[in-house]
Amino acid sequence: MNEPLSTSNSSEPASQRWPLIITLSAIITSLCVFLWEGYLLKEEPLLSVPDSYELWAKNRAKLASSNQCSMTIVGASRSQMALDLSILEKLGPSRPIQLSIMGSRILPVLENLAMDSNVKGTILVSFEENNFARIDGIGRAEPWTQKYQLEITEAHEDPAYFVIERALKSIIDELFMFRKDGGKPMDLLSQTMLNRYTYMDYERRIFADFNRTNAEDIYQKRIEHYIGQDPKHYHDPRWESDQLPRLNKAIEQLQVNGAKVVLIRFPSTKAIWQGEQIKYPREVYWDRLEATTKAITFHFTESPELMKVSLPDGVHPDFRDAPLISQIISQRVFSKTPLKETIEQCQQN
Amino acid sequence: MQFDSLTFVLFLAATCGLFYACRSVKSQKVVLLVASYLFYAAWNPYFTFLIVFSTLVDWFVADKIIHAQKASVKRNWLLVSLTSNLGLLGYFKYGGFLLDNFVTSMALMGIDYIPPDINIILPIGISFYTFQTLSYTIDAYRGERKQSASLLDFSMYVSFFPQLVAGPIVRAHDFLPQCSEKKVFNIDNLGWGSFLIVNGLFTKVVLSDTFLAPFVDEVYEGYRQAGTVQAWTAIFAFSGQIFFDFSGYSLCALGTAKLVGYTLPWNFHSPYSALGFSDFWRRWHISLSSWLRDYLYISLGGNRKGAFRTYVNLMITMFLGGLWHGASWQFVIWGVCHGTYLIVEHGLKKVVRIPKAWINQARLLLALITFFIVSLTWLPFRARSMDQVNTLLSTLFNFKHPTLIIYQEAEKILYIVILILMMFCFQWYCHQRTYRETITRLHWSVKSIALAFMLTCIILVSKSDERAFIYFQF
Repeated sequence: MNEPLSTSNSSEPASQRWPLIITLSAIITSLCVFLWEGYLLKEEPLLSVPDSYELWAKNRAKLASSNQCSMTIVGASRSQMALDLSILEKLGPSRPIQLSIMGSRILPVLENLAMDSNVKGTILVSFEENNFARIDGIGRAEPWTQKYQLEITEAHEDPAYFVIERALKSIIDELFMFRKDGGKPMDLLSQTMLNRYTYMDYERRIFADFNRTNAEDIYQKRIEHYIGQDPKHYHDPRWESDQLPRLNKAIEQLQVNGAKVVLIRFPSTKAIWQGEQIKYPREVYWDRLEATTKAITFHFTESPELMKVSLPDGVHPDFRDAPLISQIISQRVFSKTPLKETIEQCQQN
Repeated sequence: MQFDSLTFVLFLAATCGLFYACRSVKSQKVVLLVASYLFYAAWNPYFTFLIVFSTLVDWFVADKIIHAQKASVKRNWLLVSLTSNLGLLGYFKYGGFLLDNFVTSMALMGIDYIPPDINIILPIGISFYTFQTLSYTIDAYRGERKQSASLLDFSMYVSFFPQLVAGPIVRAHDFLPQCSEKKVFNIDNLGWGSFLIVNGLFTKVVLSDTFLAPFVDEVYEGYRQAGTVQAWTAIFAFSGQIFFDFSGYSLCALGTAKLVGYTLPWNFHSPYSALGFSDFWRRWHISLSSWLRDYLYISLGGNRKGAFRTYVNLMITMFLGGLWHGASWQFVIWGVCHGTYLIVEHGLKKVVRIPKAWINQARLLLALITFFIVSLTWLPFRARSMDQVNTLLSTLFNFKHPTLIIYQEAEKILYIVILILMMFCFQWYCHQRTYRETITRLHWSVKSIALAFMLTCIILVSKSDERAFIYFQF
């Protein structure tokens, strides 16, 4: 029983030539890394910023000094891809702050904003039924908002280890191009050969270039996703009893704090919309929300132009079409009372 | 502190510098002890007191056992150690689980019991260091330890930072003798240690985190929509992920220990080339399976009390082995499955004889079957709920068309298949060779290129998002 386990032995044979091996491998590694860095500096390929809590929290922190002219976007991938920040800035009160989180729920973010009396201005909220009907998968919104709340309310301090690690990483991130999302050889390979088609910028807007991928295939899968499954899996009864009251409560609190909330249902293609109607009937979700909320609402079916826009994968636009969609939404939403007066005042100032 | 963090690189460099600057063996050990407590405190400083408490209790108890004359006194002191260690483990690891099951049982009896809102945080590595301290006391009780270790040596044995949070579970008789000599800087230790660390990081951050984990996460997250091909790919991808993740950690631990002149037990030996389940458990997480064998299975009577008791003992050992991994029914199922496989294998060995002419083909087939079943059995281990287990299990066999959208799915499946095949072939090649033999045989130029390749991949290929080692949660 007490026989020693198979162990690595410290008496390495002298012929291992470790000094030579270490030196040579260090030289080869440095050469590879610096050659790759040089290539990136020379070719300057389009690199995407990795989305992270730090980036999101940086945007979230801007709301501490928000005013009536501030504008914030809360949602998921639809609002991250469809809204062109420059168009919204031109037609709205100010340049928006993007707080959408891809693949995540909106309620944690809205509740987090509602808890903060400093949050003012216009808040554009992308309402997706599956955000509330989906039982599995909560995304990153919950952990990110919880972490943010901890950091600001409970004077929470990360252990020194995390602080040091973050500082070291940010130094390296700033020094090297390859640390950016898309800057690694595999990313570029995937971008060129495997049709990577989305990029994120520092403002957290996502650009989708569907020319780089087989959008038809993605579209087909999305159709199957909506039509090919038993709808009962997708209805969470907590929508009526818990989610809707919480959503309305958060909106009301935001309004008490001085914000104006706009709920927007972003467009889907005709086939997807039909599938969505099977899974998440409008009368159960949108109509019930519209009847009970105090927010301004806008559903894409109110606009014939939006029903015709191109959405290659069924729900997200190509980045070339995002300005048009942003323009249509802005014109419709910003003309509603009481936003219209606020925007006029902000634009005059 | 994670091995794959930049902070750890600085920490390790500083520790090694101070360690080799020391003039006496005692000061070297003090440096390592302080470094170990700092390493642990990086996550949660308060839990460092828990290790100190556990260390003091077991050192004191073992000393009492060693010096006690009467068997009853020894037994009483052993009970103190078991109560203290298993009590702490039970509270921190199984408190919430037991309470949930209690509430469910009460509800079944029609009693609506609302438990107090307790939020128990699991101290990292508690399962590992508890087993180490327990083994020391049990060895003393069995009379295998005649002399007490010094408090400094014992503290270092319990908290030695390279293996503190996720093993290997070191035995006192392997570790304590190494504490007696002053360590002198040795270029071979530096070379071999660095090679092990780089190899461990490569398997963890490149193979596991970059190539396998994202696909596994997507399928397990969207398990209701996953199709049959996606589910099977995720099953084998997780098989690779957990091996690369955990063996990567173990390699880093061995390498880090080697940098300061210590040798830790080998924790993996080509487990996916195992010929049957007894063989698998001789190759997978060796330090845990041998611990369970020596302190649980043998204590229960092992195979000395007839076939039926052997099977019962095997099942109890694997049941508790499963539960050791975490407080959930999925781990229990995983453990019971392995217990069943071992029992069936024991039974089959008595009746099935393979003709000598077929032995080579049969060996490969047996390895493939073992790998297949072991991979499938990881399903409850990885799942987060019984619903996930049931849904994915039915998806595996009902030829379901996927509605889960995974971008670049065909390419991802292709490289996962290639990676898993390569992993199996490499392990089959190393079936009867140790890792050290395989590496030592390589020409120095090949070693240099391999080291450079792994380092370059760690820097250029790995994703920047942090992913904790899977076994940290246990």
